[in-house]
Amino acid sequence: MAEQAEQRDPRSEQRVPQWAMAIDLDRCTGCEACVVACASENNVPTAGEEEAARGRAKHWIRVDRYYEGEFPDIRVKFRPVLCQQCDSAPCEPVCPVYATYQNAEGLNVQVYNRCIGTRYCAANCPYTVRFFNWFTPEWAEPLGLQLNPDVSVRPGGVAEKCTFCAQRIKRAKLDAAEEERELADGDVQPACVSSCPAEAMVFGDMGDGDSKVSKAIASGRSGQLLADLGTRPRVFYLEKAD
Amino acid sequence: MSAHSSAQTPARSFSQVRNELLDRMEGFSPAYVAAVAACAAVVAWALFAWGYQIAFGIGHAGIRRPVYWGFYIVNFVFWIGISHAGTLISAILRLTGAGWRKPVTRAAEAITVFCLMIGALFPLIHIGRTAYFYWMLPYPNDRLLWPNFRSPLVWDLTAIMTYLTGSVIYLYLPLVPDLAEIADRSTGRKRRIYRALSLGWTGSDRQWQALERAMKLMAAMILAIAVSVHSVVAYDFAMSVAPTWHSTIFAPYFVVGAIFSGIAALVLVMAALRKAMRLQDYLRESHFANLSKLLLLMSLVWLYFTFSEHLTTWYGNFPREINVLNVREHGFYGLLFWTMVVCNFVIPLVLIGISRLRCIPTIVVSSVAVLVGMWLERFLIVVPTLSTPPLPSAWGTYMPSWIELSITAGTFAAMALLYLLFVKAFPIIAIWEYDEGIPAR
Amino acid sequence: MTKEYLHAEFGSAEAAAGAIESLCGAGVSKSAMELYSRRPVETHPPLLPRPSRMSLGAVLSAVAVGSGATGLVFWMQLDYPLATGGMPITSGWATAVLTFETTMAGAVLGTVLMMLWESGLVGPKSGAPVPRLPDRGVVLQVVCGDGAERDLVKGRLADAGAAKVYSAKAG
Repeated sequence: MAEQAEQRDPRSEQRVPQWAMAIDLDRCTGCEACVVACASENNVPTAGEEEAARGRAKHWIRVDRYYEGEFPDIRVKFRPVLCQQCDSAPCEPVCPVYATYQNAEGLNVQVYNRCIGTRYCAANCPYTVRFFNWFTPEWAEPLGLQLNPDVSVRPGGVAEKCTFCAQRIKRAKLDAAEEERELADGDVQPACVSSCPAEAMVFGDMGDGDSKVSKAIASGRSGQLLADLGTRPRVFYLEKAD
Repeated sequence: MSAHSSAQTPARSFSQVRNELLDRMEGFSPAYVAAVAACAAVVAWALFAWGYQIAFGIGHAGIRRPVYWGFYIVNFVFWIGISHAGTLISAILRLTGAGWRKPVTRAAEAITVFCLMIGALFPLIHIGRTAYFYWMLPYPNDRLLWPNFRSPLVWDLTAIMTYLTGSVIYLYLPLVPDLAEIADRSTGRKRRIYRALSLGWTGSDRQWQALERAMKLMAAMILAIAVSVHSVVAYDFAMSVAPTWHSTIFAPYFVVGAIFSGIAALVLVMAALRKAMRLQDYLRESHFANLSKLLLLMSLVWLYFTFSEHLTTWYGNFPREINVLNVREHGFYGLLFWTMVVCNFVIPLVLIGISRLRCIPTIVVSSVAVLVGMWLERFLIVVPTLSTPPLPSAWGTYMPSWIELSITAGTFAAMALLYLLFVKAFPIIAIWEYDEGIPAR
Repeated sequence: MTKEYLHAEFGSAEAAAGAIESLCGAGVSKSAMELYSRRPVETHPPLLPRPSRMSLGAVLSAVAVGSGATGLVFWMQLDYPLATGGMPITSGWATAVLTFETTMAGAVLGTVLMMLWESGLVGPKSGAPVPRLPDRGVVLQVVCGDGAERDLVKGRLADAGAAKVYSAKAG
């Protein structure tokens, strides 16, 4: 389990939240509502049939399927895979231009404007959750009218990935500041979390021991994807021990 | 062999050698013009392909998720590898005082410089926003940040800049006395140009001693730099967490492969020069024989490294690494894998190892095989690993598009073109290092 | 006293070596001599030893450039500290390759600059006239005063077997 030294904002002296996500695999039905919600929230363009077949489709979150048993006695397990926001992210140190780095809130941030497109980060991501803009993105009319104004549209030639809906985190912080209160548990809901009909996903501050996500992580059912690599992911998968 | 017969025939005098080598630079035969035109056409086509990729999106190349690195990185490693020809032949033989190196060194050093120029171009072709490649350089900028010095790509940039600087100087310094000779023999504007390029060389003992001293120091330094450069290229892979890339022997493995392919390239270039420029008396069979023995030695060292790398992976049986190994050794990539083994090991072993078969044509055939094999080796390091990431749901394939193929072809043509131009501008054999053993006609 | 340059052509380096020895015996300093040839005169030790600080220059330049660049890297990392991959902001391991490469770059540049300086290709020119070089053999250039000294040197050069001795004015 990731241990994070408590961080405080140098100006406000407030504790800096440590964002994390827990996904209950026993609840996930593999409906892919998160995939659709993510694409529309984050202005992820569709690739088109031909390009998708060539491996150019972008899914910041995807649902991996694992099959157990022999047909017809088959059991399918689903695992939504998004950027694991690793604390020791392999993608970060290899970028020559600091286009991706670890911020104080534990987010593995991606700065599109700095990216020169070496694709080193993508080649070095063990989860293969980093994507590349092979072309300048286009939206068929009228899809271009539904772009989320809070999220930048990435130009061709840069890498991108799940941000834990950084724009929603920012919005929640601004709202809290306006209402002169502290950020409460549940204020931030990334698109995938809010769209999950099975309520399999929990998002929150794992630095706060009372938060839902902290409790989920401490439930004894939690584990990390490819934990042996030592990447210290911020995404925890809850699973009944077999 | 002609080297032995030289003992009986009187040696050619310095002025004969000089005049002969300088005469080879004069005039353009129809075949030469045709070769330049053909190479230039292929290079122009490759530049068009690159321009197309920049203008209409890098997606027109075949690279895709999860194989984010394809032909461009393969070519990058391949060309930087070949650039080790100059270093090995010239620096090692210079340091050990091997006399037979003299007619070979300049041809080798020129390979180094040209291959580096071509190889260093590939990161620019590869990146998504080519126009911003200079963001990797540390300079005060309006983004208010510095490059990430922890990135192996920044190490690469530094290493290649050092190597390019070093090898250009290493090629240029011993060229200076020859430039003075050319200036001496020419008139008008040509004389002024070569005079300026020769930096006012007069042939005084101060200059000769300084040159000799500098070349000795440079040979030692360029050797260390060359080893480090290909180690850093290997670190690009070894610093990752990708299965089979994260290997401690990658740096020496890459250096060995680089020297191996470099010797093969040198043999090929020498054979072409010998034939096209009628240099049979200078580039003798003994040179090819010596180089072929080096080639065979490196073939065995390469096999040793490849064997160690694959055996440990196979025996270790880690699922992620075994997956890569299976992809590499079975199916289509398996075909490439065994072709590589045949090209890099079996062909040189038979054609060079059996002394009765060893002659210039078989040495040239072995060299071509080694170049093919080493290109495949780079491909089989880059692509199978990327196509087989740890999570099977992300597995994918890779097929280059016409852009990658055009640019790859263009770099081979660019190499030939640079060489064709070089041999007309500069003597390809160092005149002042002229070997006493060259028989008179 | 005006300086005069005497040029003597010798068919071989051995003959020139005899002339140099003979001139030294007559009190002419080796620093007043210069040997010109189209190919290097490969005798060990060299006929006219030229003290060199090229290795020292290379080492100093290597240390200066290498440590300077390394210091700059550390400063730049601290100037805009960004955490990546759980690594420390500055570390010896992540900087080692850059230190090595810049050290070698410094060594190369130091060597080249020292070579250009010590060979006289760059820097103040002596103004010595450049003799016309024969294809074979060497030309020994001796700087001497006029009058008696010149006649003495000329005689010694001819005795040592010079094929041709002539004087030239500073260029």
